[in-house]
Amino acid sequence: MKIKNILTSILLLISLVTLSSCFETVEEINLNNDGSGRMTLTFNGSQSKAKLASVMKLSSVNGHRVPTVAEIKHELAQTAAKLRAIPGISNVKTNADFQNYILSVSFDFKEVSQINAAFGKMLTAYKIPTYNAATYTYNKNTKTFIKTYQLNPATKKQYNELKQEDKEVFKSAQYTSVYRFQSLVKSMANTKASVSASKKAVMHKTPILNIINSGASVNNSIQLQ
Amino acid sequence: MKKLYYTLLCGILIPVAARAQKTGIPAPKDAKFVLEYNLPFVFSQTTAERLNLSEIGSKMYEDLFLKNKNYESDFDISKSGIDHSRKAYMHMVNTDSIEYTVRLLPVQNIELFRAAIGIDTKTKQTKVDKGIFYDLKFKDLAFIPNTGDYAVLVASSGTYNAFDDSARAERWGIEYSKGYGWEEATTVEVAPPEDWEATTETYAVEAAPEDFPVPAVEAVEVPKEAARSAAEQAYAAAEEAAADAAAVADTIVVGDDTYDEDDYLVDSAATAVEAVPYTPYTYDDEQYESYQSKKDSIFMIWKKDFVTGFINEGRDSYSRLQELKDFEAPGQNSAATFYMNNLGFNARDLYGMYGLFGISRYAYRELPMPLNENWSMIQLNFEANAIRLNATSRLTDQMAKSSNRIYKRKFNKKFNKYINSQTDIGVIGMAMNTRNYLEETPVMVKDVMKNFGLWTNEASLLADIFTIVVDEKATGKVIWGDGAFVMTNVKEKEYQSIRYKWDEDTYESTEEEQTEKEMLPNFLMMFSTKDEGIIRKLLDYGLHKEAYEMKDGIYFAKKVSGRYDPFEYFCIIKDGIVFIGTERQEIENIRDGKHRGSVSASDKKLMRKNSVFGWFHPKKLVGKFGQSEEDDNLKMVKVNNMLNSLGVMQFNSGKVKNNKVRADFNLITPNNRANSFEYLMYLIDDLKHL
Repeated sequence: MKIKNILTSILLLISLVTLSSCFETVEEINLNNDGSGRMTLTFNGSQSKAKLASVMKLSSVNGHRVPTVAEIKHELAQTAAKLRAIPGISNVKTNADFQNYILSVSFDFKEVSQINAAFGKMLTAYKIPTYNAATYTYNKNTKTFIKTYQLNPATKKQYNELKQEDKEVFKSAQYTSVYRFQSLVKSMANTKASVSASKKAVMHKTPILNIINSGASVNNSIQLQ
Repeated sequence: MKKLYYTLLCGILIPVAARAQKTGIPAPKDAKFVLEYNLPFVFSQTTAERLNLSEIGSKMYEDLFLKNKNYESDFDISKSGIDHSRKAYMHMVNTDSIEYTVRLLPVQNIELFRAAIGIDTKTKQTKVDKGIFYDLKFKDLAFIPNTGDYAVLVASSGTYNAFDDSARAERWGIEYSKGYGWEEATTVEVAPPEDWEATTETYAVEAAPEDFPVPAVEAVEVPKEAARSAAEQAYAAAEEAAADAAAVADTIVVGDDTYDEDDYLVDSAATAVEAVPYTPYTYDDEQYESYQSKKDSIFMIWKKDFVTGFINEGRDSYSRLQELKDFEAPGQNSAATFYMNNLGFNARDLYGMYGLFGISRYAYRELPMPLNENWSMIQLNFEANAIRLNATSRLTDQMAKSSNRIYKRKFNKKFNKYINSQTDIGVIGMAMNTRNYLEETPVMVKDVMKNFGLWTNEASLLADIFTIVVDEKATGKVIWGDGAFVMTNVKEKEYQSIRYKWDEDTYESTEEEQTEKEMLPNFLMMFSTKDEGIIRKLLDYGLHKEAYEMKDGIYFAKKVSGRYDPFEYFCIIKDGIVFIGTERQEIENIRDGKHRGSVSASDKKLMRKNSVFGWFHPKKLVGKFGQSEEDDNLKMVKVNNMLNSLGVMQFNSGKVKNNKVRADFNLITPNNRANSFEYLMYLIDDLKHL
């Protein structure tokens, strides 16, 4: 017991000095013309896996409780169960790779609006205000796909109230969104996003801090042919 | 002979009594905590101007004033009006309904002081016989006596169950319906406040310090009609304010996202996307607002009653902290001294902190107050070459007896061969008797539970079962009780990460391995055993189950969990010591009989005289943390400068003597720093801006 506490204290000390970890979140949507498709959400912490593995030996860091591997797996299973309960959502898969600290959730949807329902249900389950969720719409007639995220002042305030060492975690974090379509992309609103050579996919990479400072930075309206 | 004896006795006792008068701390014995600010010492080490310039210095000073909630203007310490030649005090007292945080401040310039705490012509004042009450911002209260040489500031935190008692709630015009709804009380008459429980007992205690002459005044009877009228007026004002606040809330406009284009990338085109309307979350429960307003106004009445009682207590009766058994006064060089009195804590606090194992929210209020004489004191001392945090805890007779048995062991001298004072970054060691620990644990659990008055029978039963199940003697042989944990070095380790490579044509991804480098510490742990056989059996069982492998007499843990672990673990048993380390070479050297180094005389002394001890050399980490691609160079320079400026950190805790156990943390300050107070102040400022 004592030795565990000692190890904990020393690892905590080291982590406090060096905890500017780097992680990436990837959001992928493969959208069919009829509005159905598959979404994959991935958290990739492998670039910081030595730090994450060290932190996972602790019970808390910077005053925040560190979940165990079993708890993370349990939460993922709960998420999958909640998603399966949403009408129109199917083929739900989760993956937890603790060799590389990569976690992912993927599911099929019949309508884009079901993604919003899924996010809403997940955020509510985790007691996160639903205003933190992005919304997705797809108009089959006009073939327009829109992603909207409006930063709530409360979210930004919460970030600003974080301790400096907690803010460090987000300093180098990246967000990547990839939307793949069956039709060619005719135009899009977000000039920071790029269109693939095949004209059937749109990618946008941005630091997560950009989203925290301006939610609108990830918005896009994509017009398909 | 008898005369001589009495003369000698008086000669001894008179200076003791005189000293006791000077060390009197104006706080009640059952205060939850007490803090003494030694302003004369602080201002002998620094100046108001320098404190103003220090972030932590000015913040600590402002905490004296309840000013931490005031962001309107910068605070100038030189214009605080506080008398820096006298000490200031803070203490917390709680009842089952409210918690008072009381600040007693020595005042030199009353006008400056009033301005400093935000009193102006608009501040509501209530004149009473002995002084004036001021209703401050954020529902805080100030009292300044007519003498003007000190002030009392009171903040309160109403516990959420303040009006769970329906009789009390009714008396104060609050009608509470269980659940989340509050019903408007419209016809209930406002009753007078509860009388402040004036103490009538006579206490033979030392006089209050000269710093805080608490006037021995006649009790001021709070007229019941006046209280009723005050409560009604307060309700009316509070309801008006609540109505104004609600009007503002109804017209809340969510501000535009204030995004600085100069600092971050802006996706200008994104603004073309139609924004999703956002509905702000606002309270529209008028009943709830009304309840809060009423509650606040009642709390203000209680606070005034509390202060009235406090000033009426008199010079001798309020300074009862010294009545604590074996009380120790703060040292001369202590800038701040903190007392925590176990009498002030009870099961209700535990409920608040930990949820207390399923006790009913309504039942825990009935739990008894613990009655024992345990207390703790922490002093922040400054010396020419060191900053010392000295903690003292007074234990009950049973706890003291148990602790003495547990720590009745010397540190294994053989460990010295495997600790290097010159090269190791940090060491933590302890010497206890495992057998005695196992035997005393049930006794201590019973003692603690008895003091808390909780589950006494259940705890006693479980403790007895523990005694039957555990073979203390056998376990005490396997793990003798002394051990050391050594942080040997920090070295670079390589690992593979996964990056995504995106196909330009389809934006489909493939995974690509990339080599990353990280600086990580290495450890060596050792503990004594008198039963190597059972540990070998355990390790061999691990071999059988393929959790370990063995090569050249060294066990090493296999990575079977499927989870990445940056550390490797090696184990060996030699000369009655079990070694576990993260570096193979270290364990091989131990196997081959090579000593790791030697322990310095001062470290040996620390080991010999204490049950728990340790030291840490921050300087040995300078340059050890590589600069990642994301870190800016300036940050690494700052980290290294900070580590380089830190002296050796030491901590130790000795055996129990006279029912008291001491623990010290020392930070040795660099030789070029003559003033350890300012050194600490600037160090914390630097740490905040790393």
